[in-house]
Amino acid sequence: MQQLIEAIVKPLVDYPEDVRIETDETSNRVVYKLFVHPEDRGKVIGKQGRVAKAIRTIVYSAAGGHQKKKTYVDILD
Amino acid sequence: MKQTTQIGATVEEAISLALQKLGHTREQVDVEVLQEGKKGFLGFGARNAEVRVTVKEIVQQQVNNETTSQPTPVVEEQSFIKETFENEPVLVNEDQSIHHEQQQVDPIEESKSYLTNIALGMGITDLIIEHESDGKYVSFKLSSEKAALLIGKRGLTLNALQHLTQLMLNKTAKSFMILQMDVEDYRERRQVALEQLALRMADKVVRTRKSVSLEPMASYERKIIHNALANRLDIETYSEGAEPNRYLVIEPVK
Repeated sequence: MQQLIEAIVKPLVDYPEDVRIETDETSNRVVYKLFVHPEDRGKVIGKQGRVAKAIRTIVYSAAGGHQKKKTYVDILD
Repeated sequence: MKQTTQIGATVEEAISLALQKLGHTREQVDVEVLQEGKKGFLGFGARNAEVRVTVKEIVQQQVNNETTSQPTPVVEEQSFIKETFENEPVLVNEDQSIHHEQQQVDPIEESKSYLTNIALGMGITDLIIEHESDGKYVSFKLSSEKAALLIGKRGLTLNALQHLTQLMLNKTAKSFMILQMDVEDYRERRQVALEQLALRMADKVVRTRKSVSLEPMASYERKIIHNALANRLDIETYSEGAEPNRYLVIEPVK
């Protein structure tokens, strides 16, 4: 799953080496925390959060298949 | 000792990239092939070649001397390699990836490999992409065994993928391009379904004399409905609300 997020985000940003993903897992949910270079933050969020929404849509649809847990993607500073 | 490992679509490509990076000629280095590249079938099963290029000791000393006295030959060498490289974009495999951005890449091929990578992450290994381009309009036709996963509920996933791929396309393309993506004719089937829905709703509006609001839809889907009802004189259509929750309203004409 982490790989999927990287595959989506890395080509979009200007500083792919600064992309970092952390997972925070509890019994009923998984949170993927996405860290990007401060200048890239706008790129992964997009106008009206459109890019962020697209990333979440894809991650959720991929996650829905093979894990029962609720999945979240957070973009953090 | 100067050494570098380089990934490329083919062994040849990887070597020339590495040479470009180091600024040496083919004779001045030792090449060790770590992994042979595979072309794959229609971009699947393709594997990048990996080579380790080591600059020979003696050459390294020579070059050090050379660079102090006359650094020009090295520069010439580099530009020469670059030139030959740009002259053969046909050889560039569509799977060649983000690893080397210094070379000129076709934005369409680039976004195709981007899409393939995402699909791989989603567990789709048999994605086939055909493309057509007409001016600024580019259309991708995808097919896979797991088409349903690519489409998602009401095309949600498909729209998300289309949006991201369009971003990718415009990141590399010189002029603005509009991407239309379709999975196994989903969009065509959706258009027929929307037109039927439009006509059914229009009849309902006429019958009940009450306006009907449809669920929020993307702009091009609303356009399909507007178009389908454009020549009906007994109703009027307009959109309300703000994106992305903009929805269409069908109203009876009084």
